[in-house]
Amino acid sequence: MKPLSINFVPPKPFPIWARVVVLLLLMVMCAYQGKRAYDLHVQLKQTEQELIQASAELAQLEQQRQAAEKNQVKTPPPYLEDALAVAQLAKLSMPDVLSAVESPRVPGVRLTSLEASAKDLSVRIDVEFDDQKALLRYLDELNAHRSGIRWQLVQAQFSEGHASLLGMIKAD
Amino acid sequence: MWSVGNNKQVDIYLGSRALWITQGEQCLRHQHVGGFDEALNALHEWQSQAEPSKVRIWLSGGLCRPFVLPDVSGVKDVSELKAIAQSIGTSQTGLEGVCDIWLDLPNTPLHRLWSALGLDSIKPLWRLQGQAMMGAAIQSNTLSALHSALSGGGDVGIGATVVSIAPWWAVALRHAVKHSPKPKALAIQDCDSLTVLVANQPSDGASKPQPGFARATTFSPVFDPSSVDAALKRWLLSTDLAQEDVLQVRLHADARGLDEQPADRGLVFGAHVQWIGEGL
Repeated sequence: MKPLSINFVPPKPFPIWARVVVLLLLMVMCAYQGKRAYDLHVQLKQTEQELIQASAELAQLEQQRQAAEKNQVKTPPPYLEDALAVAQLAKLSMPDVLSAVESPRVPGVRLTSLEASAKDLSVRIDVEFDDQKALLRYLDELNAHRSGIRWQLVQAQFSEGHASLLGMIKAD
Repeated sequence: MWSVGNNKQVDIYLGSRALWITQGEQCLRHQHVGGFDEALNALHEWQSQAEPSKVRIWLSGGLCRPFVLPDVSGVKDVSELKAIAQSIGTSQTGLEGVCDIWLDLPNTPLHRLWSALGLDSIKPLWRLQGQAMMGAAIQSNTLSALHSALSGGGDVGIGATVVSIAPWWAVALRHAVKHSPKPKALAIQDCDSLTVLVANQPSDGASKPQPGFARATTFSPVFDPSSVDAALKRWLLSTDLAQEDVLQVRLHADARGLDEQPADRGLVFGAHVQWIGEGL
């Protein structure tokens, strides 16, 4: 069992002035939100414009940079020749060269000088020989060595017993 | 002759046998009438002379009758529930013609706003199913005649603000539930009816019953105490209640106050109310 709040009188409706106040408040809120939305929309458009301009400037600068790179005359550094010579020299294996010229043991032939050229990838040796046969035999044995150097006689003075041989190193 | 302070509220009891008008503890008018129309005429006459500003109308049980709306499954919204209550209420109460229905639904400002916006058809805030609901019915003709009598019949400048129109048995109920222990049944007799309200009883295994009502019945017309007692005894035979389970309230038609018990000052027309039952 519980109390009952019976009343056949309908509850009073909200007074007209209250409805007008609520309506005005809603209109003000709508106007304020609409103004905010419009301002945000304008700001968005401005930002988009700025972004497009910035992208165009960036593309222009990139083009200028690429054009400048193409036109630029490159001055080689002063150490370029030496650097290339060192690089070339790295291809020349001196142990292999020395092994090649020392390996033939031909009596009557004596090595007097050796000069390596990294630029040409060649080796020039001067020898003294007793007779022509010994010299030719020395040349054959040089070419038979598995050093990859191709030797040839460039100068020989048979009367004095002096000869120069040039060996060309194969480039890898 | 019947001067009424414009700021003070007037209570009017209206039945088919009596018209009572009080302002606080002062009785402004007490009249036996021979029917509702005569009561209305007397009311209109008094109102045109006294020109009260605010009135509360208390109806007899014969004019405004209770009923219990059973749990109805499949109800979609409040308007559908009210339509069902309209037909059930009319048949249960025995009132003829179209009736205005009141239902025990929450009536907070939120609920009213929800209903005014038409949202209760989408998602009702009220719990519509799973429980029986108390209701009250009054003939629409009665209600409109009452409003007409209080509005001065259309005369300009005459009209009282009707604060409430409610049955007097609801007032007695509000006082009865304050008693400890709460009664199992309440029988309210006024000038033309006997209204019996039976509380929900605890179900098997439950220590407390669900708040609410199991039955509501009105016997009308019933005029004298002997016929009231007979009607009550006959009704008790159809239930499993005993006489001592029923708390009785009598609103005496006599204009004089009751000497043998103090007036219930918290109750409208309390000086003429007699309580009969255990623990009083």
